[in-house]
Amino acid sequence: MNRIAMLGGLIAGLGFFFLPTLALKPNRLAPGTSFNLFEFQGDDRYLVLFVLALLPILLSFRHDVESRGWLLVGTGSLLFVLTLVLPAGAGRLLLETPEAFLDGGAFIRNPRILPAGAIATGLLGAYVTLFAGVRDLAKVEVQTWLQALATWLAPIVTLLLLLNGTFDVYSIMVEFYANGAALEQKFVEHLMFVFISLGVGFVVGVGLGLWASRDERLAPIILYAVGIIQTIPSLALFGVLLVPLARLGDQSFLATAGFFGIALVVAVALAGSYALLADREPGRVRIVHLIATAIGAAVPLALFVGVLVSFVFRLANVGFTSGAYGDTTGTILVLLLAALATWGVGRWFVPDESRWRRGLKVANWSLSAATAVAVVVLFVQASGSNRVLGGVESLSALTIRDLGVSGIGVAPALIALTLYSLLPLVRNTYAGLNNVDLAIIDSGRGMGMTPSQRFFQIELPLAFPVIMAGVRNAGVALVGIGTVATVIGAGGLGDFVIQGIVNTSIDQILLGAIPAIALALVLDAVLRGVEGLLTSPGIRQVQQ
Amino acid sequence: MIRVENLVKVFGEEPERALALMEQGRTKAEIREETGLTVGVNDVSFHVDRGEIFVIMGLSGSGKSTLLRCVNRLIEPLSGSVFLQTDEGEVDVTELDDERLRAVRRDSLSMVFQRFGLLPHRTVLDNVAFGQEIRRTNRRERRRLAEEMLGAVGLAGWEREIPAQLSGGMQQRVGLARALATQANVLLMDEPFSALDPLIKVNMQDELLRIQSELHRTILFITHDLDEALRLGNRIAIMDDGQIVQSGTPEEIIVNPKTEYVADFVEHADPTGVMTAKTVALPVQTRRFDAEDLGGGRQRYVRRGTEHLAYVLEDERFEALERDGQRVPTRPLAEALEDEAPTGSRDDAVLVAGPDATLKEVLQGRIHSHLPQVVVDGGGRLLGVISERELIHGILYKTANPDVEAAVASQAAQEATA
Repeated sequence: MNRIAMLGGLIAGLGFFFLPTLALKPNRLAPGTSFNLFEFQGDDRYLVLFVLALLPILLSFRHDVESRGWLLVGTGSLLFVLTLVLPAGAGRLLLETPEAFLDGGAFIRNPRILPAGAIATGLLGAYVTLFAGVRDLAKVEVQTWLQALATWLAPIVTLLLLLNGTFDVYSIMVEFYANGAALEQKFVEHLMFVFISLGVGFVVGVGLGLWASRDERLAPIILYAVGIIQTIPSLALFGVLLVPLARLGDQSFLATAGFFGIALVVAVALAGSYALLADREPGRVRIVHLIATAIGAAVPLALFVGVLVSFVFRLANVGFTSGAYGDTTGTILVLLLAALATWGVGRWFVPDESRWRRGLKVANWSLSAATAVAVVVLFVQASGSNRVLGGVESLSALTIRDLGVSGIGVAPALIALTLYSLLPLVRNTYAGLNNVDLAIIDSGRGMGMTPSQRFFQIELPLAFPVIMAGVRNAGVALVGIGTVATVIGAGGLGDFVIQGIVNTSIDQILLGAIPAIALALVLDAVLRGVEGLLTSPGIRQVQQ
Repeated sequence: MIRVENLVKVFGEEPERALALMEQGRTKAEIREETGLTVGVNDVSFHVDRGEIFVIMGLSGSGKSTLLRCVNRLIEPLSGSVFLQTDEGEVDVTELDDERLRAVRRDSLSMVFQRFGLLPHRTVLDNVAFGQEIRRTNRRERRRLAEEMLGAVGLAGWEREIPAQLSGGMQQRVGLARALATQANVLLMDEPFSALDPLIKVNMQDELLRIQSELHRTILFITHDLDEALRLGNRIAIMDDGQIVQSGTPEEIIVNPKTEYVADFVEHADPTGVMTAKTVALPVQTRRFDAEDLGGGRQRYVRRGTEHLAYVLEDERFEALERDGQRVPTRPLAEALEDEAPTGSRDDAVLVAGPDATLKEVLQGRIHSHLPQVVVDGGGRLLGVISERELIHGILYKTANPDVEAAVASQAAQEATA
């Protein structure tokens, strides 16, 4: 007996029985009238959904696992597709004569069809059934590619139908068509939030994790500090950053650059004195000296990175989303794909020690370099846009705000997101490096490796999967937290969500939420893939 | 090859505080109580000769692993010197700067670890070639060396595997091959076989002895297992509380444990592979024998209790054994051991053992002949006889026959008076 399949059938069946399938709304904002599956007028083909929902319950009693698996996969897939297709047809009928189904007093303008609870439970039940079926297939060891086909057929068909316009009747699609251009821009903004803060967070977090793993006494302090950051509510963090960043924004660029220069000199002096004196200082003094050095270096560095990153964000945002630099962005995309292709071909299709490998390596390096150059070109072009440096006339009039740093907007969002990414990165880097078998490190030392050889050839590869897990955690979390950045006017997908809340428009909320969820899932899968590709089989085996 | 002098390692903050106390001869426990410092290695000196397997044995906590790690400074010693013979002459490892220390580790000292320390992300071949890779040997050469060493440890054909796919014994073979492939003359082995199953452990010991007989490296070997030490060591040092309490050949340790600690170890050890014929043999010039001068430098000795047997000597050289007046044929022990064990009568010859024949060989000889065996030195001089009695005594008490000792003592006394 397959209990999971029975559960899937029950979820879908009860949903169709008790929950409304569609809601007809007279306009974008007003609540509408809900329709149960039974209430659809016309022929009885909608009852097919009922039958399909009940079928898994009957099938779950079958004994032959393989045929049961295939039947469940078929039922689940069909249910998945039809749960979306059939109500869409019904919706189209409803929209033909909306007056007939609504209260007399309703203000009918651009009426919409909102998919309701039964569609959600239907999809969930279908997915559970599908999962139960694939599990059966896995149990009798059906070939992997067949299992994959069984799993992905229904989603792929659904995606094709979506592209074909079959679901255009649903309100979320209507919203999508209305806001398509804005969605693209917000999506790119969101993507940039995640990538930039993850990138900066990666450098800082891995650095801190490395430091913690090298110094037992500092480790708890560092871990505790990044842990504390994680507990600050994101809204509060934005608020805290508001005032100092607004102040910073008021400063003239030249004055800040001067301060940065002085701070840099102080930091170098501190570091130099530490390098000279550390060995002769007693333990306590040394720790204080070390922390002073770290803070002395961190403050100007954070300032510099904050300003730079905000400026780069502004350049990238203008460059990628204004549509004015289509040629350059297109070139970047082509170069990037070509670089990836040469890398992939070199890795999988060319034997280790052939002439082609070297050629591909050179091609890969030059394409990567060309991509970087193209990005720089794009930034230079974008810096000419009046959205970047606005009406600044001279260098002395240039303020930090002109570079993109202000109390609200992108700068505090990026800083907060970077801080939030630190905990998983630091913790995983620390754990990964600390868990490297001491015998292996000792054997490296015993063989006469230099500290950097040891780090790059032993510690890093061994800790890599754990560090990458931290990157994945941080990335997925950032996609979610990034939606909150909208409250300080930073943009991103959160814009739709907050508008939807303000307008009580569930369609708008979904328009922001669904891409965010999809982004999180895709990012997770991509990073997982990267991790898998870059982790050597030996280490994977050890982990298992 | 290696000469360690007055090596000291103390763990804890400001370890110098312990030095004065150690000079006063305080024990490890007292120093710990007074200063909170842990003495790891307490003024240890020893030397390892070229081509020798020197075993340091002790229980866990005795400081043996610390001592080994001080030799290549994986642990920094507090004071003392480690002189190492390298291609560029003798260096004091404790005096080297980081760069030269790394060079010594790369070129002259290689190490084998208890938990293997293999790189899980590299193939077996790449692991073995790793030492050469660090030395920037070219690809083809290091590959050749690695394959050769994998062949030497019996792992040919496993080059492309990943360490995780190998059993513990095989992983340690890889570890051994890696250490050998660096071409370093000195191997530091830190309980390399302790993590292995007993049967595999014995296999690996045999393997090591076989490889050593071909490659003649200088090996400093750490173990907590006396049987392993006795099997492998040309010389053994026994450590307790950070100090070497006794060192010597396996037989010296077994026969003459100097402290209670060593005696405790030795009690459970199997002596037959270590003790030699010359140690247990009973000289004929003792009170248990009646001598009869036959003239012309010839004597006949008869042991009390076995009057039907007589040993005939000429100029102290063994000439023959007479049984009831009949001469018994003489046969070398080594030759007899090559034969299959006889099924029928077995007392047709007297076996002649060399001085360094082990008790095990003498015992095996008893299968071929139950007559007493005679032990002669290289010049044919009779050193003594081994009857059942001497064998049992040696195995049970792990000491030389008391009569032997008495004989040695009286001889020494005679020499002293002369």
